[in-house]
Amino acid sequence: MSRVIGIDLGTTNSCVAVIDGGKPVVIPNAGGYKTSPSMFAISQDGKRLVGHLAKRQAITNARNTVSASKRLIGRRFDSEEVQKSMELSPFEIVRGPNDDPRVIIGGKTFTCAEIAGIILREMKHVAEEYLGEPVTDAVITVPAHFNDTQRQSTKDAGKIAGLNVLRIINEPTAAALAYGIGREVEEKIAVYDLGGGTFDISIVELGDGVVEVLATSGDTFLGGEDFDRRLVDHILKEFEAREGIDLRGDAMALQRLKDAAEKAKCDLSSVQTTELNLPFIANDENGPRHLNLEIDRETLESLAADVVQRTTQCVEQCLADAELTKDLIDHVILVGGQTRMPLVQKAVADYFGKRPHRGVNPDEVVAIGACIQGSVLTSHEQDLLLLDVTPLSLGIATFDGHFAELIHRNSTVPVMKAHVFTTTRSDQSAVKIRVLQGESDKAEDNDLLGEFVLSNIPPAPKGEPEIEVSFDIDANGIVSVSARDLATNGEQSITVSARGTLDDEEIEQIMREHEEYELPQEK
Amino acid sequence: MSGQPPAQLEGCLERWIEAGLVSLDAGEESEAVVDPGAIDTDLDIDVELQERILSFDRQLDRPYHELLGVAADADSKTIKRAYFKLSKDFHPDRYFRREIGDYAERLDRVFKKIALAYELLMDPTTRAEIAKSYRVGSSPQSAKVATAVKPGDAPHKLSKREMLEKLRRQVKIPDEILFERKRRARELFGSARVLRHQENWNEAASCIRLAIAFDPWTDDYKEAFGEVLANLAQMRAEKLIEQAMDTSDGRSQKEALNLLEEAIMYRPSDPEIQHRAAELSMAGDDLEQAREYAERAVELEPEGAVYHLTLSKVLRRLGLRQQAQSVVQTARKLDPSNPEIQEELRRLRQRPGRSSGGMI
Ligand SMILES: Nc1ncnc2c1ncn2[C@@H]1O[C@H](COP(=O)(O)OP(=O)(O)OP(=O)(O)O)[C@@H](O)[C@H]1O
Ligand SMILES: [Mg+2]
Repeated sequence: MSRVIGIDLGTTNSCVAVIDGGKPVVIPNAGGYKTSPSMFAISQDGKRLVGHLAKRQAITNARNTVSASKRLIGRRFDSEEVQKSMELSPFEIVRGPNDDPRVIIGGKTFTCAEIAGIILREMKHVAEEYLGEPVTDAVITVPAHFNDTQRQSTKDAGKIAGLNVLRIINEPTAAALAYGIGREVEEKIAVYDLGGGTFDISIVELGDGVVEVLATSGDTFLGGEDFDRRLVDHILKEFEAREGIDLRGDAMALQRLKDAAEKAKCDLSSVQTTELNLPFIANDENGPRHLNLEIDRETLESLAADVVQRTTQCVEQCLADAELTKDLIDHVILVGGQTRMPLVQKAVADYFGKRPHRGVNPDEVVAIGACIQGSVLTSHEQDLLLLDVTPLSLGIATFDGHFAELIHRNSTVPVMKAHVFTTTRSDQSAVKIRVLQGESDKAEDNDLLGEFVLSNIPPAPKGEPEIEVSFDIDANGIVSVSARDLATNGEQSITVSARGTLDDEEIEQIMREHEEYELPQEK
Repeated sequence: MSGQPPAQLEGCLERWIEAGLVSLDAGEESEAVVDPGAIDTDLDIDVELQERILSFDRQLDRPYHELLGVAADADSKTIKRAYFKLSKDFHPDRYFRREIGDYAERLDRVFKKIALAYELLMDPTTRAEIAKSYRVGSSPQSAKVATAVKPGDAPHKLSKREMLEKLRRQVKIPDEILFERKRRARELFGSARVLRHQENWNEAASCIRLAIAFDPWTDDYKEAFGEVLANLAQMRAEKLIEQAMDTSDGRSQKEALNLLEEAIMYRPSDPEIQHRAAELSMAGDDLEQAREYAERAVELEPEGAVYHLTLSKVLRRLGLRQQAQSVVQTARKLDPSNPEIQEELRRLRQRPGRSSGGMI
């Protein structure tokens, strides 16, 4: 049987791992890097580039280079997040036929699942190259609080990449698995995952080879990029004050600046001051201008203090959900590149009153956990069981626009819950069941996963008929909902397949199209 | 189970059902029958495990602590250990991609029940309720969950109201809990009053709904709830009417009418809603319906000139010119200076032109 790979499909970087010789190994790409930038580009001469190759030409070809597409996947075009991304992205984002955001580069339109698929295919290649055998089975990770649509789109991306996605698991959960394997003690841990684009926090309990997720929370729009943006804004202002030139309209200058800011941010994790040097950043009647700026750690920390603050609010929420207090946490694990920042480490240490656990690599631990879960599922050699939870509450809309919750967030899957509802009008012959996911009391503020109608309810005064609605999530995370009239036993049900995702035919067509492009490999 | 308000939204009833305080079944329940031929040696699952799964599946109605194999007063650490151990036997992931036939379904059922037992026993509140229910004397078998009812063999179900009644008789809620519940309900109702004042019907409904969940015994709350729902329905109807009027979109007109119907249910004696419904029906060319509404509006408010006017228009379009005339006369008496009424009067005096298609 072929092996299962684990892929951490990150906002900024992706990473692939596999169990080799009984141990999880992170697979380096042909260039020797253990992670690849989650970037895709079409070069001036029409070549398709992924990973480092795409990143290398991003500055000179900003408009045709897609980065951070994970921030768009599975969202609606009108959502705040997509609108925010549009302001920040040098590439063009347009509305797709399913109200989904799509990306135009090199004159061609791509769905977000397609972009993710291209990156996943690259990771698949990396693994095949290393193993010298074809790979199809994969476990892919997503941020813990990704909703159903985002998860299903990620699954679609896997299919586009020619992968058979055994499971989508949560990034912090994967990290906990990687940490927990082989540990015999009973303990409670907090996984704090601050990556490029998202923040996740999970509270996990270990014992007897079981990894039980107690609660999980986070923010899909909070990550290292927010730190970069703060710094970029700061530099733009400084430059304008000094030179009287606003660089905001210049895509190439902005891209250079973004790059330099990120690099400066990373440098400041190990040194106190760093210098930014961008010659010929602008031009006006007085000749070329250069950007030369010294930045110290303190400045960066004051610019980003509130971003770090926001993460601790999520941590509070998560602890409350787990019904624990912070002193009951035995270990804190840091995941994600941004946790290398001393301010972040200090904030976490101060909050929990203990130093974070060292000894896991924050860039690799998620992919490692994913491949462990792959092997746990298929080989039965590992005596390990993951009890995962559903990250968002599920329920239906009531007639007055409220959200009636059936499955509370953080319920262990598989799970099934049922409630009895009734009609609001006399002789009402049909009820519409609108399946929602989210945490708001108001139906309209939650995500609509699907809807169906239960009809043929016999005439009766309002409030009399009893409609039992049941929700079921199976071990694979598939949600099905059914409604049954208890008087007649008439039943209607759906398996929720999120709106805006691709159907099989679309996926196949995309796959055919992609076969025409063999991507150049990392040198 | 963390104390999120939406969790309580559908009322404590469901909690009680889950806690085994109430059973959805009114009558006797039948013992599940085991199929002795269910053991299958061809499957990729130990025979011994098959037997365990079958026996578990057969006895899912045992009290929760027995399901987990712990003492009734076990501490949470013991409960957790037992749950972890059982999970390693019964979680579906342990059989991923294995050929296990019918056992997939059984495992799914068994694991969900174990997880539910764990969830309920780990929560001190539900746990106390469960313990009490056993003391109350109903057989431990009544620790039955709504979700465990299989389709096809649904026994007689009690309506929610009946169930509440039964519950009130059966279970004595300790005074301190009752007191606390009523206090919360009062608080919520207080906020609802403020919200109603601000005409924030959505939020008000939400608060009262919660109040009723906490205290289903006070009828005032239910009355207020009806009132708020009526306002909500009317508000939404107004919005839809606006939409319907300027899009002349048949669908939203229909929906608006549905909503108005709803509003009427809550405020049967409000002539204004009837009048709106009449106008809307007329716009949708459903004249018979429009007539009914308009007549009711006039009946409810005989002094309403505009209502008479609308009724007259409907009657005229139905070809009942004489009746229309007498109605519009009344309208003129009530409001002599209204130009629309005068216009309607003029129209009715004119002979209908041939092209207008009216009846003679
Ligand atoms: N030494 C460092 N100091 C500060 N930040 C760093 C450092 N190294 C990397 N980062 C930041 O970490 C982020 C990338 O982290 P990571 O690769 O874990 O994210 P990701 O997995 O791609 O994203 P996500 O998990 O949010 O989808 C970038 O914003 C990067 O700038
Ligand atoms: Mg990550």
